[in-house]
Amino acid sequence: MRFPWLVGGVVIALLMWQVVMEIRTHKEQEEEEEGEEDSLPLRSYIAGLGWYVAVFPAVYLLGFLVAAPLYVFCALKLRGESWWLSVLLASATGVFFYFGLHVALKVPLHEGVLWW
Amino acid sequence: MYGLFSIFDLGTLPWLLAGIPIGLIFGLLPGLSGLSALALLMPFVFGMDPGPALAFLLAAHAVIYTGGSVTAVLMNIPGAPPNAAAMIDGFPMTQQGLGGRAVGNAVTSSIIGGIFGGLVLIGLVFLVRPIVMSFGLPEYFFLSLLGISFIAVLGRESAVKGVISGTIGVFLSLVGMHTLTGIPRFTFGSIMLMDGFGVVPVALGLFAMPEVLKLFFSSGSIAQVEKSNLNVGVKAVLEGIKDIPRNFRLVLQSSVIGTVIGIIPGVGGDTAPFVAYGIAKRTSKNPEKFGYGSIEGVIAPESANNAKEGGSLLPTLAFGIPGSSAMALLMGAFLLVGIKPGPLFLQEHTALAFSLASTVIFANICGGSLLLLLGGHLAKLTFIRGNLLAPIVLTLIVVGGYATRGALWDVGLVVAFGAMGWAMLVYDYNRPALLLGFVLGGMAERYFGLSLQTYGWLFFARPISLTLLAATIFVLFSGQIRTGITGVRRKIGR
Repeated sequence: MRFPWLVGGVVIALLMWQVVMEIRTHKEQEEEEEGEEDSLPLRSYIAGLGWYVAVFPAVYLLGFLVAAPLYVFCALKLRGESWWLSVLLASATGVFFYFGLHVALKVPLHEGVLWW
Repeated sequence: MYGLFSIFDLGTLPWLLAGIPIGLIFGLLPGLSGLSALALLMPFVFGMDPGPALAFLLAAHAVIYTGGSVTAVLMNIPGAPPNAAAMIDGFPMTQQGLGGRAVGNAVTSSIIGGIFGGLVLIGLVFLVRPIVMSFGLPEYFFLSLLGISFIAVLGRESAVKGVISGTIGVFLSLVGMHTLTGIPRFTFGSIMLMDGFGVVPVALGLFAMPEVLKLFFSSGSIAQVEKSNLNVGVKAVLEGIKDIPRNFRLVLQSSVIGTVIGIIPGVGGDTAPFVAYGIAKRTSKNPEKFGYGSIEGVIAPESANNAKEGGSLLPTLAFGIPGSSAMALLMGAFLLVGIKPGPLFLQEHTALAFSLASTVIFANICGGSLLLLLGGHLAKLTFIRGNLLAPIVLTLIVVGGYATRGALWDVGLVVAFGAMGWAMLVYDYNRPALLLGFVLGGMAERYFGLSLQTYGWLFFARPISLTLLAATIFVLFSGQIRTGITGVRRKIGR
């Protein structure tokens, strides 16, 4: 049981060293970066993160065969893509998941708790 | 000799050819690794003759890492965990608009590595016994330690950050039930954590998810150059192929490394590409280019990646000791078709043994050639807008994370490690180092404990162990040693 604590101790010591080094160099870099602006607004970051996290509850509730094409459609349409492109890519995703993964390769796919 | 050409029999060849595109698809799809492929394809061979059955499975498995190298270099998403090493330089090449050339480098070196591994299998299958039997628990420990030492070599940022990443990886590998004592560690009472973290969710989360996040945030494409500067298509791939003869010494060196690591059972071939990368960087005339799109950084790991498969077949066939986890599954396939690998197998089924070696060689040539033809077109995907690719790639990654164990828990892990991978990307911490530490940490601890129990504290006093320890010290301090030698030479010169 001592080995994990030894490894953890090494990590903490190195991280503290790194924090000290970064604080020392941070003050020099602050003045250089004052003029720079963030290229993406915060709202875009939050939206991107939201889409990233949303896939997990979608798959959990609806299962892969429903969630995958639905997620692709929503992610494309709600982010400004055209109807036809969103439907096309969502359909292609659904076809691939069903015929490619489920039927041909027999990859096990979660079915979704809503359908239980 | 008949065995070498028996793969061209009408009963075997169709199955071999069927396995190749399936293996490539599994390789291209993130998370669907060699293990998943074998597990899903095994039921198909029930009741078949051994020759076609094993040719089908082995052909599919032999080309998985070739397929995975394409996703790794084009999208920074490892098709399988061992492909993560090729991403370090392959993806920067793609970002510079050299995706076609990167694919040419990766696939061609994979083909040659695979052929090398197959030839070694043919040449050594009856001679390998003394080599494998001379490796014991202390040697496995020092081999794991040697692999971990490459953490210091992998990154282009500070060595301290690389070591921090690697040590965190070692720490993560310790979560779960301790293999020697059965004591659960850091499981917090969770049954799912008893098995620890799976390597597929960790690799997908660390590497693939941050790329998806970047695609969600960006308004551009993966390739960050103007279309007029793009280097895709058949010409670009040919350029990548032409790089190989110019770097043939490196291809050979890395193939040897991959084969040797593959031969040693218990180490796990996943480390071979990282070791080959580390040695290539240490011995290169231009080490400063590694991490910024060096073709040597693509050629070395991918040669080793495919060479290790031929190597890992050696102990599997010769002793019935699986050279890797995929080989353990393949042994299940052997039993399914009524054959038991081991010393008697070589005597009673010599032709079959040779046919498996030629399967590895033929599958690598065919699968690699197919990818080279398609590679230029696949490289064009890097010019599609990130907004279009992101949701599709994300769903593929999530199903890849789920498919290994059929557990939604693994999908959660992919998302969680994705957040960690994003933070590491933003703060410039080395993700391949973390993966390497994760793969080897638990192994090193296990073999250290077993060696101590078996031999006491003098377990390292063995010739091969001392050699490996010396190699580890060299890897860690070769930069300083070189600087010291140069300084001494200058003083002598004055």
